[in-house]
Amino acid sequence: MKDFLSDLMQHKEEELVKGCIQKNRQIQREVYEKYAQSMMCIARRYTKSDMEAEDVLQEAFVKVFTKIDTFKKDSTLGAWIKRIVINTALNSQRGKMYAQPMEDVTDFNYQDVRERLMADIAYEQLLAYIRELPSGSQMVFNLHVLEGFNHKEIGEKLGISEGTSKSQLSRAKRLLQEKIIKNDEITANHYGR
Amino acid sequence: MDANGKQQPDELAELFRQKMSRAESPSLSDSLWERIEEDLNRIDGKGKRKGGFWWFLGMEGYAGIAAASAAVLLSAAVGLQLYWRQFDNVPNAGNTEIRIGKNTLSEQLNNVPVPAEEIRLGNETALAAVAEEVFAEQEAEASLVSALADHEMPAENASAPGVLEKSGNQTRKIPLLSAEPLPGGRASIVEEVLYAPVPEVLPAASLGSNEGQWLVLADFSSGHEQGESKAVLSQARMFGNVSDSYSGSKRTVTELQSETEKTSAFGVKVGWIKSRIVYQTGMQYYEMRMFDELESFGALNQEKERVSHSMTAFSEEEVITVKRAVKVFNVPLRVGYRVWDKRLQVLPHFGANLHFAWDDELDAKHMASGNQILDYESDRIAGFSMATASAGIDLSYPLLKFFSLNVGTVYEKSLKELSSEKEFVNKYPDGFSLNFGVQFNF
Repeated sequence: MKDFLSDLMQHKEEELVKGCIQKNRQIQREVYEKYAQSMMCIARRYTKSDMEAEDVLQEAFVKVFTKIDTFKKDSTLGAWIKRIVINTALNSQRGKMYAQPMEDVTDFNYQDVRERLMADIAYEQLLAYIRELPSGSQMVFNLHVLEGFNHKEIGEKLGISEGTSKSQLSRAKRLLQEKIIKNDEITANHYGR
Repeated sequence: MDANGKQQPDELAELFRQKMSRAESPSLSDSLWERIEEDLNRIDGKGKRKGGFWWFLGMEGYAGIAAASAAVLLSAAVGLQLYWRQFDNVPNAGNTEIRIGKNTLSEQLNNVPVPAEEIRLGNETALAAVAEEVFAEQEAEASLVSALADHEMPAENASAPGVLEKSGNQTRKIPLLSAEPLPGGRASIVEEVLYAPVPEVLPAASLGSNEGQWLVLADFSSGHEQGESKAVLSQARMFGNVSDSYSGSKRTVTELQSETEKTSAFGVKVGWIKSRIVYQTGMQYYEMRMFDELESFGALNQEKERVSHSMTAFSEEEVITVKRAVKVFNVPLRVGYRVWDKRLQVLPHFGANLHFAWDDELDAKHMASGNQILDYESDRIAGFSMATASAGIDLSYPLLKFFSLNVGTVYEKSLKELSSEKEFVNKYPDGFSLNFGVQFNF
């Protein structure tokens, strides 16, 4: 049964790819409808606003449909589109990556952060914190923590050294932890905890 | 390392990963697919009909600079495009030709020789006869002696009475005084004509207080104008040299003021988008209300030649006001190219605007003190066309599925001067404008 479903999905994906290669607008629309939401989630992490994320998505899907003939079926269509979305987002942010001044980051208790992260920080709040990071740290954090790239791969993608990637990641984590702690303090003060 | 010097495990990254994997479904704008499709069409070299056509229909109006007015108008209507425009200069004084008296010279009246020796006969009957003959040749009804500017003593300008003068190529004439026998019947002064060269006099005096005022008006580049202009025209002196005495009439136009009121406009405009090229046209109608006022003072004098004696035969002051509505159809023709085609679209454009207009006199009043009953006939603006070239840039941001918010700026350069029936010439002002509005796309 599992194999049957897998075959069916693969067949469906092949149909979609074929339709896209033939520039069938209906099929292209179908692909867009299928992946737009999930790709938007990814684009949002790499950008500072939803408007910017939509611009990334627009550019990425145009690339998808114009380069679909280069799609090697060594991964799923979704994974291939995801790579394009991430690369497009990285390109769009490239100029801004190291423009921000370095900020001092204070140390904090890791256990506090962990507890608070486990507790009641919502997805949108966490996303907002990630978007507030300096662009370079934001990119490295996303690529390493959320996409699972190692520092060598990140260095190649962003044109930076491994060391820079590591320091950016460290910086991103510290900034995020700081934001989480501050948020908790604000919440506690607000509710008189 | 944390504050306690302990190594942080990757657990934290895992926590982040877990939290971020619970992504909530983000909202996507409805137009995103359309933008993607539009890009694909452009790449494929196809023009796309769907979504390429837009129109705008609405009532438009403009008011002063007050931001409050703009805000009210903006919120009052969807599909309304408001328009800001700043005029660099105010329009010239109005196109009114004031005719006082029963006769008007033709525009071409120029350098008409009048036999000086006959004029000097000193006989008013002969004088009138000669003048009538001259005017008969010019298809005018009555006679004229002469009109000269800035000549104080006719006896010192013996050749002057024989020449009818005109100032420059573009001459505005205002016949001011009709036939009036002098007391004692010594001479007959039949008409006075004032020539005021419009381009030299009026533009220089166009210093209205509303210059550079911001206006909010509708649609694009239609040539609404508001402002005041004032001009003090040159004075003319008319005389007849009769025997050992002469009589003269002197009239001074003390002020000519023209004002254009605020107006409102109604318009439809449509656009067509093919690939990145945008074509726009439409039609706009508006009325431009103008108010002209002329004040003058006239006096008829008689003097004995070489004798220091002067007698004022009569004097009078008069004010003539004319209120008119100039009705204008404007047809803009524009081509633009989208240089930025993301959610925010940027569209530089250029084009031309054609204005067709005619006027409708609403009200005219003539107030005079003195012993004159005077007629006037105003000049008409009828069927003139005026062209302006425009260049500008629009920014468009989608609001909802079918609407977008537009902000733009346009500079409009006058290409052709407008003219009236009498061929009085007014320079249309160049305009710089900011506009904003809501556009419906489908």
